[in-house]
Amino acid sequence: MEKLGLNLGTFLFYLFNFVALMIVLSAWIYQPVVKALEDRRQKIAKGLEDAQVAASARAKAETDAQHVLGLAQQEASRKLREATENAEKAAQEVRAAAEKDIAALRESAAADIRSQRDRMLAEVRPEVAALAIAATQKLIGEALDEKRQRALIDEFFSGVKSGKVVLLEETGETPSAAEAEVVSALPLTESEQSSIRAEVGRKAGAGVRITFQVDPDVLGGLKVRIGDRVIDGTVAGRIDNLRKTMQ
Amino acid sequence: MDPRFPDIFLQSMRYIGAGLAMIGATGAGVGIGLVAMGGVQSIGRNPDATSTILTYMLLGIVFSETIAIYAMAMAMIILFV
Amino acid sequence: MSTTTNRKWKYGFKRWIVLALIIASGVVAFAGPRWFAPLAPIKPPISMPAEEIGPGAFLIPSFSVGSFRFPGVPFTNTVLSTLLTDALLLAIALFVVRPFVRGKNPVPPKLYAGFEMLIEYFWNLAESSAGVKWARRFFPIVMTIFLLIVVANTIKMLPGYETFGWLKPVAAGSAEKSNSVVPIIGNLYALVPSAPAAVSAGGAPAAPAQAMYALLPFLRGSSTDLNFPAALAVFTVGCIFVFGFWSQKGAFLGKYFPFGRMIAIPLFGTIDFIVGLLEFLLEFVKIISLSLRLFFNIFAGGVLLLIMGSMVAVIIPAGLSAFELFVGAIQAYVFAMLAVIFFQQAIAGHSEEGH
Repeated sequence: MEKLGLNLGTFLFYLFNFVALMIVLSAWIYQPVVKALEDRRQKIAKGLEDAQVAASARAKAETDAQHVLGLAQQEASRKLREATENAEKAAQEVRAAAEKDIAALRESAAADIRSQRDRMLAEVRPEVAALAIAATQKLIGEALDEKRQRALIDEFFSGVKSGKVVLLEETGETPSAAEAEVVSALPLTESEQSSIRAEVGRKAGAGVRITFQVDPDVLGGLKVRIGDRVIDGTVAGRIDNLRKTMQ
Repeated sequence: MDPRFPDIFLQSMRYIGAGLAMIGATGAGVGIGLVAMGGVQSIGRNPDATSTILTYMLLGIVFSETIAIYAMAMAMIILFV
Repeated sequence: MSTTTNRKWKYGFKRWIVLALIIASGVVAFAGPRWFAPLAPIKPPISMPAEEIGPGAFLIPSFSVGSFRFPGVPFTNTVLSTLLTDALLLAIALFVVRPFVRGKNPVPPKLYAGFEMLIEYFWNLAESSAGVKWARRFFPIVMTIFLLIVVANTIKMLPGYETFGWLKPVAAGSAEKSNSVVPIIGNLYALVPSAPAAVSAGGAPAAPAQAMYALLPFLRGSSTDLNFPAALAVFTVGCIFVFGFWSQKGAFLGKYFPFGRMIAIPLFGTIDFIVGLLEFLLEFVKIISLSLRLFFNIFAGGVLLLIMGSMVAVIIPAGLSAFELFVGAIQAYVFAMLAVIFFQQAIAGHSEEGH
């Protein structure tokens, strides 16, 4: 043992030295450094966790933003569509109103013109009759019974003979209809109109609505349309028929 | 006979004995070589595990070396004690 | 032809210093005896026990209590070296670790960062092997073992270690290696190889006129004193028993002395008892193997270095010195590592229960 250098005193010195060094280093180095290491490890772990939380929050926020954006886009497109529709509707309304106005104006103007013409024609009617009588007197050379002449002419123009509508007498049954139209060359008198109305009413049914039109082109006689049936008793129509036959 | 003969004889026998004791280092050398071979082969097969393998390889080398250390301890004791 | 890139040669500074040192050491080694005697390499003294610095220099003198005689703590060169090691470690603790740990500076200095890396490595080793609870208990032991051994083995390589000390007169004809001396300045002498020519020149077989001396170095590596590794090994093995008993209570003793099994199954129980006894003895063999490993690695390294230095003084000692640094660090690591493994085994037991 002596030759190997083993010595109890030195051995105990080293043992004591080691233990003392261990205690001192443990207090001065190991505990603070290991504590710092553990703290850092925890901090890193916490940082990673926080980062994960933040990442998930960000992802959530992104999806939320996407959602909100989608909603906003939908809303915007809906608003746009509504505005467009409204504008179109307004434009259409304006146009329709304008068209209606125009149509009304035109209608009233046309009615004015028609009524004026009718009045003029009504004023002209006795004169036409007088002219026709005068021309006939000249042609025939004898004086005609003025009263009969006038009745004849009236009948020519109105197609109404002694309170009866000749045209309708000649035609057979007609189907009942809601509307009827009577066209004459000159405006008809009140009595003629009432007799025609009564006659047509009998033919087409009581509730029929009758409109009277004046068209100088028909020359004379009446053209009655009841429903979809036309009964042509005008001079122009007869001439036309004649022309067709002669051809 | 030289009166110093016993001392000289003892000393020479000590040298011979120490030399013979160190033959034991042969086995340790072979062992260290085998450990290193295994370690290098495993590192070659799995380079990712280098640090772990290195630790165990060092431990193996150290245990193998212990045998040589015993031989050397014997040699030293023969020589000096 | 050659695909290697031509690296531009640079006239460095340090490499010339190294070259000059190599040439100088060659000159000193081979021309020393003829031209400049004090620098000639000598055959070194090899002594296993640590030498006392001065006769009767005791840290604690010997005393006796009754029949027990405490041999005292002689103030040897290894003790001095150990105190130097302690001082270095305490300096590290005081001037490297504490300023940073106490300070507010969040950026660690490089020295501290390296030191912390070392501690972190061993902390992870301890924690991964035995868990935080037990790692906290045995980590100081393992870490102190490593730091003490690695610092002791490293400062052992400083110049002046084993080369500077008292002159010890050696009686002629002694088995010890002895050398003659030449004076340098005042009381400073240099050992030179004893010239056999001088002896033969005297012609007479009588004792030479020249006095012979051996070196008694002031400093010698702590690990080259068997007491140092033995103390560490005894402490480690003692801690194995402490930790084993602490963690497993009676089961730990049952591992070594399985009386219960011997009563339950007499035949195999007896075999188990013998095996347990062997294991108990093996725990004490651990002391021998741990201490001798460290001691002989470092001691043999030092002897190899000295002998090689006396034979081939150029280049080879430099390489061997580097290898010695490596071996010193490896031995420290191995000692600490084995301590961790022993502690882990003691804590976990053979059945690995509870962990």
